[in-house]
Amino acid sequence: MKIKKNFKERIYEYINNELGKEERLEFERLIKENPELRRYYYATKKFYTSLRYRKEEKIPYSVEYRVLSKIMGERKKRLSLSFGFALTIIIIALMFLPFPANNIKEKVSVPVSYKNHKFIPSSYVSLKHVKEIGITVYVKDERIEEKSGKLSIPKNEFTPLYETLKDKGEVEINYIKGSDEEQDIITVSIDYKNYPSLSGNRMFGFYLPYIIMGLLLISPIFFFVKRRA
Amino acid sequence: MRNEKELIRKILKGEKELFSLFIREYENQIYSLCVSIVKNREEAIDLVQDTFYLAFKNLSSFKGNSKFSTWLYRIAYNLSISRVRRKNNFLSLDGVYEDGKELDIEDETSDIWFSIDEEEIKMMIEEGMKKLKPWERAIIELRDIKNLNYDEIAEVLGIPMGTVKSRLNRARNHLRKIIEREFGTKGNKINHIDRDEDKKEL
Repeated sequence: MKIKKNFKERIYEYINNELGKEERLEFERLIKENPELRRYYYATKKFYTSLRYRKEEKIPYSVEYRVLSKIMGERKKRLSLSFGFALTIIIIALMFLPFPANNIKEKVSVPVSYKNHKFIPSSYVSLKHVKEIGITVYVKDERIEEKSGKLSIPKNEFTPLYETLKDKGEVEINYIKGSDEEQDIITVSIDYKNYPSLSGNRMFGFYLPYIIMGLLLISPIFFFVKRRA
Repeated sequence: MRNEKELIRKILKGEKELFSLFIREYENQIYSLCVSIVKNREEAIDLVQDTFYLAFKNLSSFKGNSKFSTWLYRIAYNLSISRVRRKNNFLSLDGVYEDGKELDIEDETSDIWFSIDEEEIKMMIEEGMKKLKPWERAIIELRDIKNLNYDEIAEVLGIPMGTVKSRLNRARNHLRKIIEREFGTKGNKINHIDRDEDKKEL
């Protein structure tokens, strides 16, 4: 039985020419001498020959296009993601950037008793589009030690002031919060956040970040439309 | 395929469209392996696609120690076996046959092999192959159809070379027994042993 079991394994090796010379001779001797093994050999050979010469099934259609589209699509996706990321960073940076031409910083020293000091800025023309005013008050004590307090005027409070500005071209500081201590002089720094007039290049500059942001927000629509197509 | 390493180097450098040369060269071979395992043409096409895509994504990990085709076969085999496992609820695909017993080769030779012609046997083999375990179909496909050597098969299947030989024999004998059981009558020996043509062959 053991010999026969080995014999069964050796049949395939014999057919495939995988046996050594001596093993081959021994195998041939075995099938010559033993009719049962010979019969088994021929049966196996017929089976194995048919098995080996089976037709290999061919792919009905090539996957080349599908695979390459996927590969290239991935590259495009990666590129668009990188581009989108870079664009987002640029937009965020743009949004934090001030408009350099539109900042006006003026300083004036005002006696503390002046509650209605009038200050005429040098470039009041551009104040037409003022949206917010921040006033920083620096208080100096006798020891020449600087203390500071901060005051900003909300937009709703600013509206009457804006109207005044529009008409008179003056900034009226009608509310100054100073120190409780008696002071002779306080230093007032007025920081106008001014926005440009909306015309020409300036208008484009003003709206550009919003346009880019809008395009970015609607860009997935183009992506899905393309995918569906 | 010539200059596979050079081609891979170019692809990795960015000439990705060159990968189509590999697809054209090997898609039929990969397909026939996949279809032999999963027994479903549509699934096999998906698997071919996944194989090439995965190969592309992991191309940098191909060290060139083996043939590129062997590496592809390994990916295709693993994907196909995983697919079959998922379909069969993660049941083991190894070792045990349908009736739960290890195959026992009968001593007698069925007369079916002597009474019908090769074309009929080929048809029976096609039917019999469907009843084999996926790994049995794979190992027969790799060795007896694609003529991979034992080393390559061991690499594709991820098993030692000695195991390849034993599994291969088990798979072949199992297929033979299936055909005898399904199509043949057992025990009716026909005396072919003294045929002249048989003697000549030896």
